[in-house]
Amino acid sequence: MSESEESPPVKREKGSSLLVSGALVLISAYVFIASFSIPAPEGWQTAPGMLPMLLGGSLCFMAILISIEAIQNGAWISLKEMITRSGPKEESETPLWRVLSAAAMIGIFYFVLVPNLHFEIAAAIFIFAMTTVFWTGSSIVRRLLLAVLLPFFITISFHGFFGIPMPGETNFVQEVLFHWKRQAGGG
Amino acid sequence: MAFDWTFVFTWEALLVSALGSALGIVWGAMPGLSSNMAVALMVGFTYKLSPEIAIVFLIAVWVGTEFGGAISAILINIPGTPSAVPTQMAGYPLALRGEGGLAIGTALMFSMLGNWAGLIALVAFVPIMIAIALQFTVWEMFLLVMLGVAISGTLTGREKPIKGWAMGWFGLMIAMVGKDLIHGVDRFTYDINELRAGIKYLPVLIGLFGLTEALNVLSKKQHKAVPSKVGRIIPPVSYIGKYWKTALRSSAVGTIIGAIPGAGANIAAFVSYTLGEQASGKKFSEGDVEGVICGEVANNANVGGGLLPTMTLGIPGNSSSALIIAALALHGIIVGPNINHDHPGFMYFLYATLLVANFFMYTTAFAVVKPSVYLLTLPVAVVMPMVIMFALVGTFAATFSMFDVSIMFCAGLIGFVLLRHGYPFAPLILGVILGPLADESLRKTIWIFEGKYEELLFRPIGIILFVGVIWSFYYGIKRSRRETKRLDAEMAPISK
Repeated sequence: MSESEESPPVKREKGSSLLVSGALVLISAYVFIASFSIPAPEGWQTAPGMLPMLLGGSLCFMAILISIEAIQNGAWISLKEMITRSGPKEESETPLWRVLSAAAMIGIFYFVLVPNLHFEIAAAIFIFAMTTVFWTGSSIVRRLLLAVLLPFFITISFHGFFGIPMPGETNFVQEVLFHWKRQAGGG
Repeated sequence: MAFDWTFVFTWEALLVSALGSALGIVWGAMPGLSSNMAVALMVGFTYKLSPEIAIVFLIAVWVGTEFGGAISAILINIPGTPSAVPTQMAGYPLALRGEGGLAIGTALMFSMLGNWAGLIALVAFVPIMIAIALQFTVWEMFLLVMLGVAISGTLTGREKPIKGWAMGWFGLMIAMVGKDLIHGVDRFTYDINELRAGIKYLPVLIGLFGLTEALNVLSKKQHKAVPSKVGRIIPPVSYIGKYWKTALRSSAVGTIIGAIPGAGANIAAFVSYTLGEQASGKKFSEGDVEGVICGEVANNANVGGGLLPTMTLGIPGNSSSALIIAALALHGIIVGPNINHDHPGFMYFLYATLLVANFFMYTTAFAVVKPSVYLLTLPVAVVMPMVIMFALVGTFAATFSMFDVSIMFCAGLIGFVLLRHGYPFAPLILGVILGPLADESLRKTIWIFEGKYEELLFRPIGIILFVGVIWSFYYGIKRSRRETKRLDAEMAPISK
């Protein structure tokens, strides 16, 4: 047995940590540079770009230090392994597909379904999709029931009782209330 | 706007406080739903309520969740809130021995004592803090903001404080977006109209505490939780005599840590737990009510302690009090040294609110604990879509803007990435909230003291604050080196 096989694997920093600190370096460097082009109507003393410049410069310095520390802890090797997929395969407790699918479903719900459909319909589709993906082993009847009842419960509670405006074009509870009020006014 | 403290004792306010406490306890009990998330999501919903009712409701929810976290921590070994982790470590082994109910009852009784300690400290120190704060000029205000962000970064960054400081700076940078407060010059707005008003901190907070936590919970493979039996809840009264010293020490720890900007209930609970183990010589993780008391008293005392800098300086003591600032701002109440002048009677109203919320936390808990056990096994795939919907409706209700919903969404995604890489949120939140104050104060200082900057060196409060900022960085670096050495020493025998 070689020496490397005998010693337990050393815990290295994740490769993605280098991407995060790298992003911080880029953002802060951009803020530092861009703050010089912000107009200063009454001289440097009250220049609107002064604090962003100081913050951008010092954050860039901190992010570089974080990146260096990450590289020292093996993040660069992990990143290379991540890109070439040559590293040891470990079953993650937090699989990437779960995060990506949750984020995608939330994005579609917020920015595609809600602005274009009745709130209750949008929410029903969202809940059904979420429970289908994440609630393994549940029956379709249960999921459908939940998808139909929960949005109405939420809309009635918040819009019906508290008068809180709901996002999106409209919702059934709002329409029903509007018709009731109109009828009451007309009567 | 003037406040009348007697309003808290009207039937309407009492009912809202009782409902808020019950909701908070149930919310805190459910795994993955933290007190910050509860307050963040509820802020938007209070916009239609009167300021008085909104404050009564939010404080009750906050107080309730701080205790509620103990229920799932003790019964299913999953802390409802991060501050309940010490309670979990000491309480779950008790539940396995069939003493779960007793542990919860003890947690409840001593949570109430913790709340009282925080409240007493708040009442005692508010006048002193306001008197000091009124001496502050723009220079001291700038230093105070920097001190808050630096300390928060040091404490929450743990072995890597630089990540905490970087987050504080990042938060301050986010706050620079929009028209500047002195000249009205656009900064980083890219001709987007909505950005001219700046990035509002409420959507950022809801994104970080609602969406990030939802994504975090959904990303993990779920293991079915089986609750332990509750059993008898009411603890023996003799516990008060037996553990009064522990309660007193934990109260002091919770209140003091609460008063430090950005240091939340979880830090208080851990410090108190560690000190408790050292003082008693016991190993709480084998199951000990004293460990439960240490954690619960500290995280509940943290509520009053956290409100101290929040109300007197406008600097949030912890994340939940940052959310209370957001809620108050939504109702036109700006906290800070002038609170007694701008909103006469507000502080007495707040004391009464805390008192009533504390009473209802205790009374409703006995009714809510056993039914809430059934909620512990509710699948996260059912709970989290509701949280995601609350985040949407809450953000929209507070701002009427889908643009702010997109800010909340982005904050949630960025927050998730940062969370996964060990970047703390508390300094980021402080930065976002206090950024405009830091910007205005720094520039006014340079303008006012132009040509006589040496005068800044002879301002005693300024010197103390400046030394505090430097000490905070020094302490962070020193602790980081110590931790690195310790970890290296631990790893050395393994790698050999």
